[in-house]
Amino acid sequence: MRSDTDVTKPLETVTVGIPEGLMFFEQKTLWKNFFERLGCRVICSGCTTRDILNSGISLCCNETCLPVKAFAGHALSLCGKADYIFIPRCASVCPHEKSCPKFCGLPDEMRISLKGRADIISADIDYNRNPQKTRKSLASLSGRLGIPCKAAELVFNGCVKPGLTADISPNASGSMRLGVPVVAVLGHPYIIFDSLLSMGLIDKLRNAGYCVLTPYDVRRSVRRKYAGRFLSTSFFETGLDIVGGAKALYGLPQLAGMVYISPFSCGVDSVVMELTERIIMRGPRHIPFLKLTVDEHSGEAGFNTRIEAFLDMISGARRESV
Amino acid sequence: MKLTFPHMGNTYISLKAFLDNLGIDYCLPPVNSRASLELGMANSPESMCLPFKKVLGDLIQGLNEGADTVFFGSSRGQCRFSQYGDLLQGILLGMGYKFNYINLNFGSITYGDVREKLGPVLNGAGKARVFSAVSKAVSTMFEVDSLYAHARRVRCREVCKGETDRAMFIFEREAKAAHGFRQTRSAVRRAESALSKIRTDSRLHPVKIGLVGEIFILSDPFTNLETEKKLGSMGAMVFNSMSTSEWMKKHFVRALLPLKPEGRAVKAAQKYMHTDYIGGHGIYTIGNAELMSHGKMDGIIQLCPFTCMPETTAKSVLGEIQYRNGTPIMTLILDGTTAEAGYVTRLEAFVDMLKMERESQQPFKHTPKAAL
Repeated sequence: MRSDTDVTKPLETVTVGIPEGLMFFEQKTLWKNFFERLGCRVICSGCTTRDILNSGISLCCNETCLPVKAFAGHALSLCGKADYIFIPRCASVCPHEKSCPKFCGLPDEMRISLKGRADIISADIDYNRNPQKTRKSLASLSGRLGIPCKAAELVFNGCVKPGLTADISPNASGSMRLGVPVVAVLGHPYIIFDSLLSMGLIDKLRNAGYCVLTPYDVRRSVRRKYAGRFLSTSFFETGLDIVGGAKALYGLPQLAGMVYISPFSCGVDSVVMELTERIIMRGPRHIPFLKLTVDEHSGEAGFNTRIEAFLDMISGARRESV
Repeated sequence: MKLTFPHMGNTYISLKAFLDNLGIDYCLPPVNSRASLELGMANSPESMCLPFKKVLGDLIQGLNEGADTVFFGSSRGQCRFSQYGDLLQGILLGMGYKFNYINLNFGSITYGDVREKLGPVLNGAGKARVFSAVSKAVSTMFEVDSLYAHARRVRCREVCKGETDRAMFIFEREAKAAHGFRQTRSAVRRAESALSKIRTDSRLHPVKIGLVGEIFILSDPFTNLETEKKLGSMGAMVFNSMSTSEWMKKHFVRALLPLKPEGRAVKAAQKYMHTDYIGGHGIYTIGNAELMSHGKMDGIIQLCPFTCMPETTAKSVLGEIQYRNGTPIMTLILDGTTAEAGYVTRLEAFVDMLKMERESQQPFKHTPKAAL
């Protein structure tokens, strides 16, 4: 492991680890580019596996939500392989939007959970409350890596900043085909696109012959336009994505049902799910709405039963309407 | 126009006097009512946090009793609290209530804002009168909080168990019946003198327990299952790090200062969290726990609502604080259905442990290692 005083080490040999969880479902390529352009070697932790999740669960405090536990597992899997583990303090990517409060303390929480096994570097991103923070944190980050501060800022402004609010399609959801019913899967990107945490929900729906769309298949600007009402105050970024995306997908004629998957005890989802459900239930069309909650217990049978029952109901409803 | 507002601990005492003073008609939801909480829980999203459920229940009770205007103070910020305002309105409208909604944002409060939103309620009261009423309300709030602090000091040393609780019970009954600032203040004064007359054992050195955590839970004895009273009657002196007067100091008194000094708690928390904000009062929980474990507290209890996001982050740090400083820290999570007996058992066990620790005089310490 590199110590703070060891800044003379040539940059090419500095390895930065990126734990593939939480915000990295959206920002992985951005930060990968960032560090590679600065001349570091980047290694990622790969997909979530049962081992990663289990080691994360043993590190974190009980009340923490499932994705944070998985994230801790990813970070742990990079210990020993990387000189530094990069975890941004991503409080808000643009004005009037904010992330889950757990992101504000994530680097510190991980440093404490990992108990000194790894050196954690961080960058503050808070465009809602304090945009100046980013510069200061980049200065300390470049100090740790032993590179000029100007370079870090330049690369950040060039390849990270515009990407933070860009569209993502981490898992291109396949094109829609005529006559194939659509099921919308709603939730945080780090739940729905993580096949272990979501218990393979998207694959299961696809295998059952449905086309799956997520809010992230709708363009960001469209999502924001549909979410509309919340733009006056600051609202959760994922909330805007999900509410806006759900409203946009609601207009699709071939939409047969919506599934909202959320980790147990998620605070953001308790608000967003309620709002989404209200909007969907108030609309003129009757769209079946399934709420699924996942946690670290891996009993998949009950989960499958609920999905099967939901799909049976959808196909029954469709047959009746035809 | 009849106003109703949610409870938060003892704020209703000063708020009631304030409304009386300005001659505003209001409807006080029942104090410490289990029925309110049940109503709130039945109508809230399932995994919403406890303060929301309590607030919603209070408002429903107020509307049921004939109020037609709902007053709520929201805030900006990273946690769910900033969304309370919208969600409360949505749920109450969905339940079929018709009401005027006054949602004051304390995060960015301006005089014009207050004038515009509260104007219709104020019955044309002049600026000077409103300002004097506000300042009286604030000073009453401070007096009431200091009365409760006094009760915490007396309760653990009283010779005849239950005298403090009786004095406070009489005070609460009088405060509820009082009309305006004069009567409220004289009730406070009577309670103060009643407390100072209670016979105490001054030779006693009670164990000291600090309370940290989420502000609503800490300042609301009903939702925290009267932790302060319970600990006090077990013979522990309780220090509460959060109260409504603290909150007033932080948000209003500090906002008037030309230079905004960083709080001691925030500074103390920097050792663990390299940021000044993790949503809600999470950073204060960490900072206060650090300060208290250096400040001769025998034990610390964190109280927080189930699924509270900032407190969950804070909790992951508290383990480290306990490990480094050696002061035992216990977390109690409240979700409105907490069975009281199990809760009392845990408090008793904690206090017993601290007392045995005190008697053995052996410092309860792990060998501190450089963990970070």
